[in-house]
Parts: sequence; structure tokens; C-alpha cells
Amino acid sequence: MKIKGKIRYIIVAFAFIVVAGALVAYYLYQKPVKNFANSTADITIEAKDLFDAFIKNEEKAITKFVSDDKTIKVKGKILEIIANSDGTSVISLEVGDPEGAISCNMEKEYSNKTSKLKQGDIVTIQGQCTGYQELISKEVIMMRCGISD
Amino acid sequence: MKNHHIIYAIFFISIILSANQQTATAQEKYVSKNGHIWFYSQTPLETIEAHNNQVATIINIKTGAIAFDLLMKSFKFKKALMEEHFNENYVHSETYPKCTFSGKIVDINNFNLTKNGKYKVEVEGDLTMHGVTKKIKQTGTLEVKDDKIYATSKFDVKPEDYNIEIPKLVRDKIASTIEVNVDIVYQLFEKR
Repeated sequence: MKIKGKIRYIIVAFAFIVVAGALVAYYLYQKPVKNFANSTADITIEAKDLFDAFIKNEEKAITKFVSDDKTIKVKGKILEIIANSDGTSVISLEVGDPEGAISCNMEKEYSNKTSKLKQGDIVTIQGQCTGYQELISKEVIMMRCGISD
Repeated sequence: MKNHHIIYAIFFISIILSANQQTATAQEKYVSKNGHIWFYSQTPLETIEAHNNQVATIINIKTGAIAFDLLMKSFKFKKALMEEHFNENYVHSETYPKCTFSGKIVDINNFNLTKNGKYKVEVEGDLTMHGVTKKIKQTGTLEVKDDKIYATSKFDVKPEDYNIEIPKLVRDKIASTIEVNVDIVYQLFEKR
């Protein structure tokens, strides 16, 4: 009787662990990507300073701004707004270098807010910094961006 | 006096000529900073899809030179875990942040890309990612319409060609060839 009870207890505990493990695995698997546009900022910085950091030392800037899914909040003056084919847009911010910019890919949810903005406006945008590219002009890229109030 | 006139004339003619030359080169270059490249990996167990709409690209319609530059980190996945595995375990995007292509349109002299129309072209050149450069040759379509060029292409990339290792545990879920799609709207390059 006693042994049987123990075995039952072990089976129940084991089943519980298996189910819990499966649930955790399923949760991790289904987890959507972090909402960069609407989360607490890890780093707040001026557009010019973010740009300069990449020009000065790209590798260091990647470690600081790109690694570990950090939310970057960047403040600057709008240089231009380019429409994407899918209805979203890219807002580029001035950085003090006429050949450079921070290019911010806006999320769909912010299309309304974005459409009210124009060249020269000062905005604070937050999102995920993905790095630096310079084929056409010098660009620091921000993805999954939202307008921060 | 006469000599002066000739010198002035030469001076002005050369200025006009060089100005013409500059507009000529500017009108050969078409660019896009928000090109769209996406890829699929399809297996019975799992379909994986990721989009990058921050691709920078230049095409020279006279020489046929074509170049792409994109950040691996800019590929957006739906599931956090897939994006994390892609960046950290497969393409190591912090060590190799960029993917670049530099090449040319084959037999560019057979195409007049200043004229509206749809052109099927072959592009060959060097594709670099994950620290590995491979020569590739793929087909694509260029549609010239009112000062814009709409470029599309679809081709397969084998991760193992670029030393991208897919662990055994997930090999059934990731296809051995990845389908890459390109969709770019080029505009005439204007320097601001």
C-alpha cells in the first residue's frame, strides 16, 4: 500500500513536470518578438551621438546599441520621410553630416502618427538598432520603431 | 585680345561640357534605400519567413553595375526564438553584420534601360555573407516605367555554401535550400 502510494506520487509528479516543461517550451516557441516601439528604453540618445558612435567605432557601437535586444530611444530632427510599398514609412533623422542619417523603419501601428509629421520636426523615436550601412549614404538603421511621447 | 577671347571660349565650353558629363553620370545611377528582400524556408514541419525592408542598392543602367548592402539583423521574423537562433546560432550577425552583393548585368549592351519596358536579365557577381564570398549567377526582371525601375528576382541559397551550420536537432525544420526573394523600386539618384 505504502509503496503503491509512493509510485503514484512519483508518477503524478513526473507527469506534472512533463506537462509544465511542454508548456514552457511551447510558450518560448510561440513568443513573439519584443515590442521595441512600446517598451522601456534601455538607452536614450541624440541622433548625432548615435551616428557618431558608429562612425568612430562600428564594432563597439554594435556591442553597445545592437546586442541583447536593447530598446534605443533617439531624438532628432526629421530630414525626410520615405514611403514604403507596404504603407509603412522610413523617417530619417539629421545627424550633422550631410551624407549621413538615422533611418527609422516605422511600425504599421504608428502610420497615423507618422503621417502627421513633416521635415524639420523634432521627434523622439524608439526601436531596435540593427547596425550601420553605407552603400548610398551613411545610415544607422533602426527597425520596429514607434513615436515616443 | 583675340587670344583672350579664345581662352574664354575654351573655358566656357569646358565648363558646359563638364556640366553635361555630370548630369549624364547622375542619370545613369538608380538607387533604393528601402528595398525589400525576404526569404522562406519550407519543410513539412515548419515554414520560416523573414523580411528585410532596409536594403540599400545601386544600379547603373549604362555600365550594368549592380550592388546590394543589407544588415542581417534587419531581417524580421514573427517568432522571437527563430530570430534569436538566426542571429546568434546560424549567421552570427554580430561578427558578420552585413550581407553584400557586387556584380553586373550580363550583356548590358543588349538592353536599353532608358526605355520603358520589361527586361529579363542575368546578374552575376560576388555574394558575401557569414564571412564567405561566393560567385553567383541568377536571373531577374527589370521593369522600367516612368523613371523608376522595378526589380524582382527569386533564387535559392544553400546555407552550407556560406559555412552556415544548421544543428542536427533542428535540421528537419529548416530547408537545405532557402528561397530568397528580391523586390526593389529604384529611383533616379539625386544628391541632396
